[in-house]
Amino acid sequence: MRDFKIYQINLENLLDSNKPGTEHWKEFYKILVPHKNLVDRYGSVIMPFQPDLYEQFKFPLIDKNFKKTFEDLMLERANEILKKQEITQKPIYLFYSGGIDSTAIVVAFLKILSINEIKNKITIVLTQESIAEYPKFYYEIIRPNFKIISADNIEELINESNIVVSGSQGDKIFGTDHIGKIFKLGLEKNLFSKLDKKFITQYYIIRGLSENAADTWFNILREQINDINFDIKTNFEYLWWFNINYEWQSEFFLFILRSKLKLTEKFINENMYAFYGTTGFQNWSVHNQDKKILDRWTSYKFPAKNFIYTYTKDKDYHDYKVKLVSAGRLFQGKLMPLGLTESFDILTEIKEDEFYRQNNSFI
Amino acid sequence: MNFRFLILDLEIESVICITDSVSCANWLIKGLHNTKSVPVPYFYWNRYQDWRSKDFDNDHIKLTDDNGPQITTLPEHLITETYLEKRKLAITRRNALITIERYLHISLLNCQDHFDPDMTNHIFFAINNSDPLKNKYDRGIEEYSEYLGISCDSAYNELLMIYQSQNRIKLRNLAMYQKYGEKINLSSDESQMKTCLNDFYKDCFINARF
Repeated sequence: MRDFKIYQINLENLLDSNKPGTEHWKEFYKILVPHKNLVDRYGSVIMPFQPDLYEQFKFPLIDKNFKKTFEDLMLERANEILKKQEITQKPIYLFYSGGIDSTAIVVAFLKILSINEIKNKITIVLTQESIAEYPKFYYEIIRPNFKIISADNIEELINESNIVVSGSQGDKIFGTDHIGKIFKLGLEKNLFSKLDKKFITQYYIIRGLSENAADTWFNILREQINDINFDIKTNFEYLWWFNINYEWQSEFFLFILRSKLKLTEKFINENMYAFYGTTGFQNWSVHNQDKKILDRWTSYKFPAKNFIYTYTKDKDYHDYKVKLVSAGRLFQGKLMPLGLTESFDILTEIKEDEFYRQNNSFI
Repeated sequence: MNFRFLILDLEIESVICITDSVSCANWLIKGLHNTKSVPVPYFYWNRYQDWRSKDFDNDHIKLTDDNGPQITTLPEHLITETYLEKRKLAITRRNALITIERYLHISLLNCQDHFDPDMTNHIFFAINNSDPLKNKYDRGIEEYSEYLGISCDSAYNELLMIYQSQNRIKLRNLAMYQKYGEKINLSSDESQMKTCLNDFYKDCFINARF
């Protein structure tokens, strides 16, 4: 066994393992990329191979009386970051992909700050692809009002001298990319129906899992869902739940891992803002299952699109923009380390026996 | 002028492979003994029926280049196992190199919103000729800002962003092409080539996905 914790790991070489429990577990990696780690934020479901749960990513307690709106949360979070800047006097670098999540973040700051303040306080970190994803927003709003810098400087920007803001966890708040695939496959008819094993397992099978593996995965998750303190009622909610619970940690650490910098816990806790990673957004997500998508894929994330619209009045974007995978080009071809240890050192070696969990839920 | 490149086996002056990519042609000859790349202007295929009618991957073709490139049928006695093996290897490697080149081009093409492929150099000159801390900008940047109705500072930062993005992509692409060009040249059969392409695909795309 290891005598140190790890927070992120590339599972590629471990997918050949024949240890007990791996047979059905690894089939899920026909859907996922091998650096995507599945970590149960409740700590009850254990994968044969997985990183340790980062303490701060435990699933938060859900407030039954939570009433804040999406707009409240956007402004609250932007204000929190600005307050941090006021205290520390550090520049804010906002990673902007041009996608819905990061555009909504820019709008949140625009609603709080005057145009004169914007230029001094916030630098937009982007690529040419960010411009291509929402050209009108760049040409009309970012270009005349913000300082910009190439996201290819990522290694120089992620450090303790700066406040770094990313759109991380936005996807988890709203649902999952699986929803888009389900629409493309024409399976959306029963997406919002009562949670049905057949619907979920059929989807898994279409994506390449065997019937047995699809059954195993569904059964393990179904059992866990009975024990959490809110209801998962529909197929959509099940898929959302999988994303927000199991993929949360990996998304956060993958962004950091790709910078290949030696970071500290202090930086991660004090300088790195995954904008949508707050307890408030998670509460909103749990309480607003009807505010993630309507009947069309183009309506996915509609509260964020509404929020953008209140500032831009761009009806075309509001009605037709679909969610794309935005950060691809920035990391395309960029070498990625094997993993991150608890002291945020790069993991240099992965040994099957050291990382295998005998008490995994798949046995 | 546009060229196609014939890979010539110098031992028997036979064409073993054709490609439209100069980088592919140069990598192929690095990996195969006694070969060279012969550039042939595209118009040969437009003007000359004997060039147009040849299937350069399957016909056995002899090439001489004493007085401009000329093709004839390769004599029967030169069609040996060694020649056929060498040709098969060249074609397999070419296909792999072209696959990689195509994928690397995608990232380049996606960030190119101007028709001049040398634009990065011009931007580099203008950036180097400016000093934003002293509010001193190259005349080209001033003009860029005037045309677009933005400040010189914004124009400078936008051009710097474009330059840095393209520069980083181009250098990374060069590194990847070098790495996988070498690997392809060390591969001798289709299964090794497939492994090589899978590794490339992982480096280039899979690792980039969230």
